[in-house]
Amino acid sequence: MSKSKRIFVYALLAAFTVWPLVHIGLVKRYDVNPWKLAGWGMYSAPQLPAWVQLFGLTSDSVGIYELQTVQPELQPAVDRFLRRRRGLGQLAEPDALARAMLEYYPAVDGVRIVVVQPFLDRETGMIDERMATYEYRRTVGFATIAFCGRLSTSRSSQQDNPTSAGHLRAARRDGEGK
Amino acid sequence: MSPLTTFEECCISRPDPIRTKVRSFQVILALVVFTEYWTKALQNWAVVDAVDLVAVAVVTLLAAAVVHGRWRRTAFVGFTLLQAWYVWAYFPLTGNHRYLELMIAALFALLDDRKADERRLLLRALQWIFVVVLFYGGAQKLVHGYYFHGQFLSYSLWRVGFHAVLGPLLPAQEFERLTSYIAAVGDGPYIVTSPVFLLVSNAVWVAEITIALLLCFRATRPFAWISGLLFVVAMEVVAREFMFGIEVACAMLLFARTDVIRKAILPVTILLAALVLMRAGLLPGFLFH
Repeated sequence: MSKSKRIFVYALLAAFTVWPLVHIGLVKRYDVNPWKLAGWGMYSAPQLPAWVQLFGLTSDSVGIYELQTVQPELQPAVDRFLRRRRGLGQLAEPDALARAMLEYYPAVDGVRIVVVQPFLDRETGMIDERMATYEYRRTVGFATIAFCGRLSTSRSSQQDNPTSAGHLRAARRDGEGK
Repeated sequence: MSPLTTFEECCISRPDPIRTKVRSFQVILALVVFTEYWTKALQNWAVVDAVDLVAVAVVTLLAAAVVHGRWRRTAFVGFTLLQAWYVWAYFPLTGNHRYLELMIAALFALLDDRKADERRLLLRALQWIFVVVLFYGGAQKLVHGYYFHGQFLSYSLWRVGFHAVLGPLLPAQEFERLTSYIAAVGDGPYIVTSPVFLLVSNAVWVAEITIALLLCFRATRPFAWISGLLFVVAMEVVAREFMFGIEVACAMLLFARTDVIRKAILPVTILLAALVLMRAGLLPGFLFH
């Protein structure tokens, strides 16, 4: 066996051994799915699917309004985003979904996408939820109306911990409010 | 190499335990991957598309080549490409066992099991891979903390296998409470007080980590692979992820001093055939993943 082949196999095994440590870090930091991406974390935590709330942003007196139903033309974009979110957690951002919404609704100034992620609180044993809010504003570019990007990202969790990027807030259904 | 020679090597004669172990695991892996593609296609037969049909045809040819034996290494190049395609096509929701199969197929393609030094490295690599899988399986449970108070297992009682096996470990009141939840926001608490349930819950991650570590030492290896085999069988009775379970169970046999894994080929083949027939509706079946 050549030395290079042996080194390659050892390198492969080393990467296979170290990657799950990286994966654990991604799970902790970005809510990456512990069941996926070869971290061997199957059955280590419940898998609860996320869903989205979609809003249109306008400059008139309405300001912001929720899209109560998803148009059939947008459903594939929603499904694709939720699929990626389910695997990659917060590493999957809804840029493509926002772009699809801005194209579908040419009159809105922007869109807001709220990602609601239920989770099992390991301390209390209760099902709680986290919210991540993404806003996208339309800008007039050089020759075309161009997609701008995020203005703000705020996340919510059960802990109140205000930061400059937005504070974390809990959303419970037990009547205690947000 | 003719099919008869492969059969002889795997089921009758013992030319070299390492070679027999490696060849046996190759056959088992090929049959498991074959079964995965067929059961998936049969489950969704009404909506199966051309790509899935091509994948099923390709995996059938590749599995036949491995079982035949002559074009084994070339077939594993094919398996590597096929599994790489599958991982990419379903990313990021690809099941972990697909990554495992991709890794192992790549090793079988890269290393020539006809050469003694590469064969030894192949066996050691396979053994190490499954030590890693077992260890991190337990470590992830430890790190995420959903087993200390039975949170994950009590949440999972809605699943058929978990319900049947774990239900009897709970007092009737606690079982009724937990199974009344629907995993909606505000449901809970998914925490149990039953000592037996808590013992079982914590035994899971302790066993995974301990077995993985004990597999690494010659003195404890016999105890570890037998415990590992029993542990995997017990887990799959609950979880019913038979493909992954068969791979891990057979991998435990790789740690045995003898080439006992060759005796697993026939029962594994029968089990896999039964799963395909169940999915095809030709045998009465039960739910499995």
